Amino acid sequence: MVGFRNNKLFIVLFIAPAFLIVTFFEMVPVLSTIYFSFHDWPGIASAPLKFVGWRNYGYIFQDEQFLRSLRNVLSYVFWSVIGQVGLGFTLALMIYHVTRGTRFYKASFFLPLVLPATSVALIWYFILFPTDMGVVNHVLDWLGLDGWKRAWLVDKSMAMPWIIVITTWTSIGYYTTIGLAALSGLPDEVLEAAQIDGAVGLRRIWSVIIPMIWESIKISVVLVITGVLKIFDIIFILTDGGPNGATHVPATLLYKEAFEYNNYGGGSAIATVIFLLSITLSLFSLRVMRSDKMEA
Amino acid sequence: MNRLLIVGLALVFILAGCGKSNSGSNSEAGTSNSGTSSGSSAKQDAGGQKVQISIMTRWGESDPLAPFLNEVIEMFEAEHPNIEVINESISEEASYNNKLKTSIATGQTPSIFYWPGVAGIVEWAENGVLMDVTPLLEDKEWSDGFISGAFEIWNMEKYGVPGHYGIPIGFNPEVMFYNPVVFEQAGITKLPETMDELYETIDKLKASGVIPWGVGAKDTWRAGHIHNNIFYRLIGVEAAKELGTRQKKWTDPDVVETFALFKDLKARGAFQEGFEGVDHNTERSDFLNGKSAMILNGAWAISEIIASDSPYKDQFRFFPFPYFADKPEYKSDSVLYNDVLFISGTMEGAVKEAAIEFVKFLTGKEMQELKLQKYGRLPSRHDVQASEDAPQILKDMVQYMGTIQNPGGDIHDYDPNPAIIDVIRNSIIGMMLGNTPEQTAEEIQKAIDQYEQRKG
Repeated sequence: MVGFRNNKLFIVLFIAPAFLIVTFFEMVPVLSTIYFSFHDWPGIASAPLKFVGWRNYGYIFQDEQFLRSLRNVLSYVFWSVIGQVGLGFTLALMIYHVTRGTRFYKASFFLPLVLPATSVALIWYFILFPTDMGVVNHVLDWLGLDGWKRAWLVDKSMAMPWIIVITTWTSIGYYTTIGLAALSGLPDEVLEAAQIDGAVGLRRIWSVIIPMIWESIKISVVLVITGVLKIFDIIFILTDGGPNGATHVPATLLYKEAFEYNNYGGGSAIATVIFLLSITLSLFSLRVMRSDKMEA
Repeated sequence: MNRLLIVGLALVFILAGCGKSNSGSNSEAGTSNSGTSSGSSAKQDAGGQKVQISIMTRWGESDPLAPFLNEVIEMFEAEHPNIEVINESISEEASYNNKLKTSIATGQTPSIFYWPGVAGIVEWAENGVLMDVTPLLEDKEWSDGFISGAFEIWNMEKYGVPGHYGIPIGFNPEVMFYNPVVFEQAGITKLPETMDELYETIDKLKASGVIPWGVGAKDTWRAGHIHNNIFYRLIGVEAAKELGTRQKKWTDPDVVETFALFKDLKARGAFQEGFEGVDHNTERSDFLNGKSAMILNGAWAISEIIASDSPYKDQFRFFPFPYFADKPEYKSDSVLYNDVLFISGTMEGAVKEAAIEFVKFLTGKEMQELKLQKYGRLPSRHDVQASEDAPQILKDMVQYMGTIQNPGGDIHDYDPNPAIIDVIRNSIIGMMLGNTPEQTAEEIQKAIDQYEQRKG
């Protein structure tokens, strides 16, 4: 064993696969994207790359559509953290305290996660269908709330909230599962000691359970942030960024710019912004949660 | 999320491919390889016996014209045993666009391919992606059979690139399809010829309880198509071309009026409630089931009607989009969409000859006759007529197409900005949801100004 550790060839051989994968499938694409974001190229093999400096960034940050997509994604991140992590962990706590039918609840909340995005989009398209054929409008009609009926996904003020609801519905099971895994790891003796000391009900959850599963909450928040910043499929299928750009997020704009408008430099600039935003928000949230934990 | 990863990787690899191909293209410029294709997916085998060419259209998988293309390829290969045609067609739009653009970006342009649009091909023409087909037009036996002026649509001279680039394989007039049974029930005895008559028709249909005009504008092209028709009938096809060459602005009062008239149709209750969120499939099934009385669509809808199990399938008819009584000068400025093929400009020698041979075969009289008679799709040639036993609606359409004098495609076809298609269609939906026609026009003009500024 010691011989292996001292053999440099073995060390290189063991590290090489991971190193090559990370280098060629993560580092090179990221660095190439940053490189291309400073160039203009119309998507034609024979057309040369033209260095344009910061122009692509200037262009996207002057573009109202892109700025709106940034606002959209930030509110998307905020509500998703609340919805997916907050609600997901709350559900986990509830299931944890339920003694019967636990498997059923787990399966129910996890089910949407295994559905393909296309199926999720279709299900919700029919739920939100703009006429009385839509489940939501049909129920409102049945309740006599005609005035509340909407063409939900083409209502500028409602389309984005619905996208957030749909994503939350799809992903909540994942965070419930993480929460349940964290809760199942709690030592019984600590919980019993807390109970003897008088920590029951909300006090027990707030002062004992949450601090003990805080690391799982932190990683969940980071996963939600990075996941939402990359979200593409549901929006692409359900609204294609509409109505009139109201549900665009940077990822859907990236696709449009690069693959539909042949603006590969602009698309790369948006990809770089998503990358930087993802790192910044993740670090920021970890920092905030670290201070919270200290205070707690 | 996974999709984004794929998109991101694809983006990077396309870009990486670009860098690689650049160096390749420099050397290509100086060396012409007879009998081979440079930077194309076509090739000739080592023995020089079998030539491979590729074709990429939207007639793939489940498309009604997929069997047509396969049939043509089979016949062509039987007649030309030394040529193999690889069919790379994909019917789904986004996948098709991605595949084609990736092919062009990596220098693997298909020998023959479909692409919608006119001004959008300027960069491809400039950079040698497309073949200038002007010399092919000298083959009068083949080219004389095309509808007059067909090749002029892709004459890029007005965009600063000399040459003709597209070969049309079909034209699709856009008309109002209607259900005569529903019209009769609503007491409509005369088909509307002017817009005022159309408004009266809408009122009567509304009163009878049906959806007067079915629109599934969730698929934004449906709204874009209605605007095309209003635009051409109100200010003419030339105005669209002038918008593309920047001689005209979207904020000009006459253009703004085209939006106002569209919005007015909504206010009159022409469309079903919430039509902005209804998809095209629902629109189509509403029409086929008699829930809506009319739809505006291209001639391709005929094959959908014929293939349907609608109880009205033999009764459906169409009438031309009404004109404005005070604008008789634009009465014949009509929407005519085209199916067009482009030939890769990167081929040489035997491969290039094979691709030209196949395009002429595919767009020739015999194959276009097959497409019309067996598949119900309109030709791009005047020497092809519907047979006597063809469905009446198809015969009427062939006859109507011959009467169109001043055709125009989608308005955005004439604009060099590839993003304008979405800007126009999204802005129209924005208008239907509350924006004014003026705001709509300003939104589009702003996008054009930004594009021009960026292009320098």
